[in-house]
Amino acid sequence: MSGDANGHDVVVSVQHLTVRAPQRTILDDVSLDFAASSLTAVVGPSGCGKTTFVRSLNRMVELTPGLEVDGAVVYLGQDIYDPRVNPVMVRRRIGMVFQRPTVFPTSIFENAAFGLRLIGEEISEIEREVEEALLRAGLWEEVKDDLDRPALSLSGGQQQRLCIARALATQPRVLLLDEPTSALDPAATQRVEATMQRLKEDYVLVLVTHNVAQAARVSDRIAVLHAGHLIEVGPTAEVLERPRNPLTAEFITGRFS
Amino acid sequence: MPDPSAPVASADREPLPRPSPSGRSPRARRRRPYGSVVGRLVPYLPAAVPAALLVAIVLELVRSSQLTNFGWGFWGSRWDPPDAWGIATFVAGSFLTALPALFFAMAIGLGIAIASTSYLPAWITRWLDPFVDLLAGIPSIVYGIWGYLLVAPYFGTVINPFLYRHLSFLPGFGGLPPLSDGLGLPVGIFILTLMALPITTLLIRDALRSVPRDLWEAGLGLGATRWETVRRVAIPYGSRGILSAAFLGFGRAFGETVAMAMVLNVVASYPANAFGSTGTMAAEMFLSLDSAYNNSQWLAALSEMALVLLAISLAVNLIGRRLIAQIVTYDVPGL
Repeated sequence: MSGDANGHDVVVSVQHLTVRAPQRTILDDVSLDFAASSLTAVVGPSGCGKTTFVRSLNRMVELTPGLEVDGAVVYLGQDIYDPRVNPVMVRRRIGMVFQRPTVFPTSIFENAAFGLRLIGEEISEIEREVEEALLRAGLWEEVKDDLDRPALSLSGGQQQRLCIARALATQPRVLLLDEPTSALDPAATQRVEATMQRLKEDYVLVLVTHNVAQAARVSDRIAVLHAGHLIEVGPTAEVLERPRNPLTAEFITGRFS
Repeated sequence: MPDPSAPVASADREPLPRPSPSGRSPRARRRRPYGSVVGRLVPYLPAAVPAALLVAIVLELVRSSQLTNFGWGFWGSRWDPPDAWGIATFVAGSFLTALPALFFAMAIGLGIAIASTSYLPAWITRWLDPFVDLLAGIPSIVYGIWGYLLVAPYFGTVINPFLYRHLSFLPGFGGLPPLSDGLGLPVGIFILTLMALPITTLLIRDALRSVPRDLWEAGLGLGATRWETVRRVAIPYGSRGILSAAFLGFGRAFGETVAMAMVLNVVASYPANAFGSTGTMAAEMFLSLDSAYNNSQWLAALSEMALVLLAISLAVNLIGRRLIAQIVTYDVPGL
């Protein structure tokens, strides 16, 4: 499937995206499409711009002062950088999970319900959708009996899955994951990876990772960034076994050996 | 001389000096027991000073107030030395000035802290923030003089008549029209608000600043507006600090003396309405010290009043600590 997403069901289309900081260009003319029901891993060495790339998919990049964004990110036909588009509305449709678990200092339930409360859902709806989101994130069985417990009493891996549930609760089509397992131990990492693999059936997942082995385990497509350029993109197995760009080969072998 | 227990020691290599006591020179081990006992007690002395001071103050106040002197009459509302020694009006006056001032200082402090941490660009807050610290350094007599000479007349001629005209339908705001000298509750509350404001603002600002950037971005990343992130993430996260701000601000306002003595037009009665005059415990103690000087009964009454002020302040402080400790926080792994 989705080796390149030039087909029909493109959900997000990144077109000539360039992000500049005052002193340097972080992303240089990156174009990439994301199809429904896919998990694309964005990999590359530190400083290649992969975090900036994923943060520009829901305009989080604008929270860093001094960055200038050019090009377009088209979500279901709408450029999210159009001046008439409210970034708050973009972020409700394109969810994000961060490197470290970022649960709020409140109960498990309230964490999962955060986005739903923002859009003013009825409480009965919220309860149903919180359960649904926790089920999807693979956390429901572990927390269903004490949803009122402080979320901060959960383990790191559970917190990260709660963050995924929280992002899913508002029913986005796209979920951005910025190195979601980098603060987790191997067992917790494995559960988050299992969650990601289940989720890719229903969502567009974009996973930023510095870990090529993880990309190999969970993704069906790999995009390699190098110094702000998209140097290679293709089906995971193909890129890993027969990289076309020598820099990709160097990066992969460096990581694997 | 090589240490036999050092794992790195070997015949051909010089062992590394180790910081453990056994590896040091033998002289370090030979400590005189006397010296070590004194040395171990020394840190307790400065640490015990606050406790000793508090005990000494309480004991002295208890002694000089001759607690049994006034009996239950001390809690009455009639203060008319040397015939009546009821302090209830002053207790009420202290709360009637401190609580509204605390409310305003918290509200304004929250506003300033939210604007400074979450909305204004960094280069502006770098210039504006230090002024809050400077406000904290203004001596209360300066507030008193300023309040008496400038603020009170303004309240008397402009603000109080305006409030009276528009709010007199509210209970407590009707009745006697405000006097034109302006001395009384509103100006007292205003001055106290200014005096409590720096401490509430500073503490709330620190509390909001301690919110990790990750949490901010998580709130915004879920589609919250900046204000929703402040309200639903930053304020709950900083609730401990915000609560301490309230209790410390109350302490600041509750004991304030000189400025209140100057702007309240201190009288031993409950205020007739929101524009009336009353007295606080601290202001009355200060103002009647002269008359009490040669009257042991009066001095005893002031000592007991001081004891009451101290007891209330301590009680509020302890309750505050309890409440703050009850706010559960956990260590966030990786934050």
